[in-house]
Amino acid sequence: MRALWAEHAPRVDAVVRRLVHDPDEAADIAQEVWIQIFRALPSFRGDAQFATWAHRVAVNRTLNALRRARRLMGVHEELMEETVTVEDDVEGPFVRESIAQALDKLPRGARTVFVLHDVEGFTHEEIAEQLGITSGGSKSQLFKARARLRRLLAPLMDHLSTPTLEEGYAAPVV
Amino acid sequence: MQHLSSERIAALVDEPATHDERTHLELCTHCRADFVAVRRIVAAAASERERPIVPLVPWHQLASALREEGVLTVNPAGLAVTPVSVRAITSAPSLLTPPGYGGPFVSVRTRWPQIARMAAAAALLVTAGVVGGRLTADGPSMPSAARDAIAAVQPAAPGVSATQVAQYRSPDDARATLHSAEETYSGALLWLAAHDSALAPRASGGADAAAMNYRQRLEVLDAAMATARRALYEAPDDPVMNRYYLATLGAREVTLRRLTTVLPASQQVVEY
Repeated sequence: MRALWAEHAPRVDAVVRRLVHDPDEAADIAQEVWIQIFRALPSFRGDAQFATWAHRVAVNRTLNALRRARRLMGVHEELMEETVTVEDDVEGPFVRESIAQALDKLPRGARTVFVLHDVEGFTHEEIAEQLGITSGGSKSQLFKARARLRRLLAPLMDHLSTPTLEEGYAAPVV
Repeated sequence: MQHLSSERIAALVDEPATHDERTHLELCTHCRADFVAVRRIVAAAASERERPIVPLVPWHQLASALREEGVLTVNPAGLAVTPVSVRAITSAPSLLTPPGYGGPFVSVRTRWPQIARMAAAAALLVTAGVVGGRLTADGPSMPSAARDAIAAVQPAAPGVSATQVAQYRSPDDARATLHSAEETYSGALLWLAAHDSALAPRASGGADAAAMNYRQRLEVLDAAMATARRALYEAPDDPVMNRYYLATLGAREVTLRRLTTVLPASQQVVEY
């Protein structure tokens, strides 16, 4: 069990940490996740990679824990009412302007949707099912989250080189 | 045409633009810069997925919770027994369990003497290192305490000295001691990685010299991790090597963060 944990904990726990703002709460949930993983192992049929299965368990369990703590109540309203109030923070060193740090500035609901879609690779349909919202609502929150991250990271991003012609707009592959 | 809204620009990373929007993006540097910035953020976020972290819960705490939940069973000797389902996965090809590793019912109990010998060997190594360091520092005159220490461990090599064995009443007792020492070691290691003045920007070298030092440390840590990883192929259950690997991983993360603090704001760590 320990070998299994040692191999997969660095990535499974990373999922939990990205979804949960508070480090202590994240540690509690990570423990719940691993108990759930080991408890559910007999039901693991091996038709997927263990890492993929554990990742899914981690996301589900973390969202359940957050939901249980009513962390996700009214995420849409929370996002709509949020205002940008971090001008002082972005004056800090480079590391504080990283995306991981900026994520902490997002409302929980927006953070959850952004992490699930842009980091963990879930589709809007999957996110909608997980969070009990519509896929349109998931998209809306994702775009608000991205726009807010852009504002939060503006000092950093604006220091980067100006976009070249190649970096200009190109239609996404859909 | 008016500027595109920030949310619409954020959407254009995934969704096709209309003809008017595309034309505007080609002409408007402001909106195009916003679009490129958002796309960079999304790309950076995607790369986060593969970035590991130091586990949030130490194994001893998780093992204790697993025992309380009845998930980790303990045999009459007080030793953890690996469930069949875990053996099935850990015996599959993976980073820590190469083909051929493990067999039916390789229990912790049967492996314990080997683990104890390895832990004792590591302790012996550390003790010898400390004693050796002291001897080097003190010159030719050997302190009597050092002579006693060497005399105490020499007859036991490569096994365990009687004095060391006598300190522990049970495997749990030894594990607790090991864990306590490891936590102290890891804490000091991470603190040093974050605060070590030897690698901080100095008046002589400045930020460039500090960045070079951090890069050199990262190379060494990567080499150490690769060695530890190979060792874990051979001894995936070994507590010393598992902790060494995790401590090195943690030190690497801290060093990487320190490196970003000494780089100019316009630079981002992609590789070192």
